[in-house]
Amino acid sequence: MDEDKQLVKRSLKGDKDAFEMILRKYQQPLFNYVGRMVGEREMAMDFTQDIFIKAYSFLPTYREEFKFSTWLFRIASNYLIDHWRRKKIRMISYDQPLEAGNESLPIQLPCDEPSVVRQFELAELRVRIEDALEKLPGKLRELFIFRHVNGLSYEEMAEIKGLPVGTVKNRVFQAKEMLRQLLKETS
Amino acid sequence: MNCLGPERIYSYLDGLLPAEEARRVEDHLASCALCRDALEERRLLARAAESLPPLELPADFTLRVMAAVLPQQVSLRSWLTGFAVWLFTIFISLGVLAIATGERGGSFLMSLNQAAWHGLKNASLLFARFAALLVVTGRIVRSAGGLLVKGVLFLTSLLSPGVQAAAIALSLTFLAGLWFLLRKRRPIGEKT
Repeated sequence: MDEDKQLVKRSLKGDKDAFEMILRKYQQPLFNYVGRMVGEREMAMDFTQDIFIKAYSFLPTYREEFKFSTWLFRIASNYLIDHWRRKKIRMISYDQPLEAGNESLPIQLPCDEPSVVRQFELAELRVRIEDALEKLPGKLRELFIFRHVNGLSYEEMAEIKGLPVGTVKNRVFQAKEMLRQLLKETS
Repeated sequence: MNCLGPERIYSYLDGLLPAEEARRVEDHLASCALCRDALEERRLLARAAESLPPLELPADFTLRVMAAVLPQQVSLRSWLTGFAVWLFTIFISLGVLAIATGERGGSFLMSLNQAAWHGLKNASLLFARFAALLVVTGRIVRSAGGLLVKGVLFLTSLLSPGVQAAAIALSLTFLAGLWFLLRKRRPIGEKT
């Protein structure tokens, strides 16, 4: 049995230190995700705290056939969706369906495609990526963050979002192309 | 082989292509500078995204969350220590008070005893009044309950058994619908 599952078992028996270990392990990855989704530090801290409180209260419902990190990110993702729906905020276009015709990538690259990324130094590129991320539609942004910031696999993302792996892959590719396009527009 | 599309480039970079197809992509890359550039560009973008700095958490974040998640639990030992410190402080304060007022030990204890007795008497009176209030409240609740039962019996005597059954069925359907709606609103953490 992996370490997380042992910690969950101990937490369920009332071991405070075990839950603290879970918290220390996942607070940074979760904050990286929530922070980049909401774009505001204080709000992100409150949300991350709320997500851990929810996770603690839902701990008895955790089933061992799932990876703990996947379960936790699923709670976080649902929390953010609930929040935006409750507030009826569409600032990240979360509920907005992806535009028709935008669901798939072009089969071939344009031959005269100029280089966008290589004109920047790495540090500047990171800053520009952070800015461009805020302009990505929520659904794409979330998957991009899961993949490239949190390093989740396509299978893990599919489980978190309840989507087929193929759809997740396509959306991540789409996010990357859209991000590249945004970088091009701002360069 | 035609030039590569973004999907194939990303699949290749992610190592998702079958060995045979990956080999074909590599063959094409060896002979096509445009596709090599396109691949390199996307590789750089992915590397930059993967090396984004972590967002800074305050140092006390863990403690803050733990305090919110778990209620403060005071151990028996720390409780006893606190009680001993409190008792000790009381004795010291009384001693200082006795010295400051210039009273002798015996008379000081006597006045202290009187004060304690008055306090106890007043507390007992207050408790007795509170108990009486509780008894009265109990009687009122019992009478209200009796009236409610009578009212329900009267109403049911006016309705035929068929109407009563329909009303019960309607209520149950309404409650079940309400429960289903509330349950649907909270899908957190459960696999659908």
